[in-house]
Amino acid sequence: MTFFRGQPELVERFRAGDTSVLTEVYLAYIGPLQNVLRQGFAVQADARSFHIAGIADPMEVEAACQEVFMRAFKSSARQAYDPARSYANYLFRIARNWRIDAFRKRRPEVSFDAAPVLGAEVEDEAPLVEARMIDAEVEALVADYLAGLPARDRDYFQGRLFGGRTQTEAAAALGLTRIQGRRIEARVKTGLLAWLRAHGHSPAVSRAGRPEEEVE
Amino acid sequence: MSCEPHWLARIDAALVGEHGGALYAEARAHAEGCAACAATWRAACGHLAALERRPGRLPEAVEAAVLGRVLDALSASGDLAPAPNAEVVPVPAKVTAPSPPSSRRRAGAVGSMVGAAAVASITFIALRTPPETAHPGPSEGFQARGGETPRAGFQVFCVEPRGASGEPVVRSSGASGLAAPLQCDASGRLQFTYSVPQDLAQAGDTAVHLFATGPEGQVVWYWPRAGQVTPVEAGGRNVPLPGSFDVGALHGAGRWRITGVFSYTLGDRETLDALARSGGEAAVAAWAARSGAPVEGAGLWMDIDPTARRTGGAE
Repeated sequence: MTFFRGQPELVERFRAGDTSVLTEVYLAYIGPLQNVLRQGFAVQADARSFHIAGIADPMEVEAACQEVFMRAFKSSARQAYDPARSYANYLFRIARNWRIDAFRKRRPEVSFDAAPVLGAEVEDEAPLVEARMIDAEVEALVADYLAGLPARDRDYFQGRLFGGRTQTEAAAALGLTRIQGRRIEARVKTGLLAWLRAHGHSPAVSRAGRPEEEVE
Repeated sequence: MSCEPHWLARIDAALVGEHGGALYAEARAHAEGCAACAATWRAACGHLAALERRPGRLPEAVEAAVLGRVLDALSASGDLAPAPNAEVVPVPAKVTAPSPPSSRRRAGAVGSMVGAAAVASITFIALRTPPETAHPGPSEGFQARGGETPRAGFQVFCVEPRGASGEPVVRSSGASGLAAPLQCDASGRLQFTYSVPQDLAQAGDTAVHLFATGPEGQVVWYWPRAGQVTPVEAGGRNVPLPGSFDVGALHGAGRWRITGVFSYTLGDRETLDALARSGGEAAVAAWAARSGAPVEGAGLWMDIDPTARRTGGAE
């Protein structure tokens, strides 16, 4: 991704800590960062390769995203960023270093000094067949739920989900204010959660996050 | 494995974006320590990802909450740019002057999310160019992205007499008008400033109107005050509007939207109130536009936590 390319003024505002630019950076990279955190990566130390496992638990992913962006958005990290280079790589390196730090604390016997990160080429394990079946069932139930919504609510979500519109845009397309769109969105989402629970998708049968682990 | 039913509703509300700030943090903290609710939280994240067509990603509301916490913590630690001319805002006599951000600890700021009562992000309705006036280019006013367009706008400050560290805290919506969240305790007081580039104001009769719409459609007015109009100072930048407003006393629980509109008509509160109650911000914006003032959306979101401490008193 080339967020800052050809935009020196944007880089200046980023380094100065302009919250509107930080917000844009966050929105641009929060998705890719989650992929990196979930995927895990390989690292070499003491002539051995280690796999730092990905994070699957959404609560841990949330905490990890917060930690990584806290580090990446600190003034010292903003000043250290070289705009000639990819910000994605810069951010992901921060994420990997943070994960390595955590690993190092649990494996003090392994020397990670100047350990090269081999990249994220180590794939996370494939989801279990059971989990894939549950995912497919949830998707089918979500489709059923959306089909049963009142026309206005369904149209709003069509705009949001398939039209790539913001809340304001999706609401405006239906002649609604953003606050009305927001209410629709909250109501529909809350209804979906109740719908799925009513159809047997309680937490006990839903796909749980795999525990974090490090494997050599 | 089960928990009290009300937690289920609160977790759902947090994950669909109905609860920000303190209420989100409270639900999240409970889920951390409750096996049943942690499972509910994880499952709901997966379900919402399916609905939002973002498999493997956190729900939008969770991503927004993370951003809020990050910016709040960085702001509290002095790691962000200060709000432009924030020092010109007079602190109400009842409130002790704020200490520099650097005196607050980052860890304390992150922890203060649990106690924070209001989260807001600001954009604004603003004049862009006056009728029959050529655009002169950048000036003293707010700059749109790219730095080309001078803009009028509002800035909102939440002044907390005592923050998490026991010191006074002033939080600002920022001048950019984007989605940076504003943290504000229910015990805090709201203050407003406005900026109107000289070339965007219509001499003598440009006015500012600020109000909030509650979750049930209730309306709270900040400016103009009853029986008054509120003309603005052309060319003013970060001009403070006098007085402040008690967050807890004026706003009930739930999500509020603060809207600001400039117009070339000196509207009275009664007229505008009727418009706001019947048609919300769109009706007020349309009224302003009819005065000849071009407008652009939108408003400021604020979550009020009814359980937070209140200092009492009104405007």
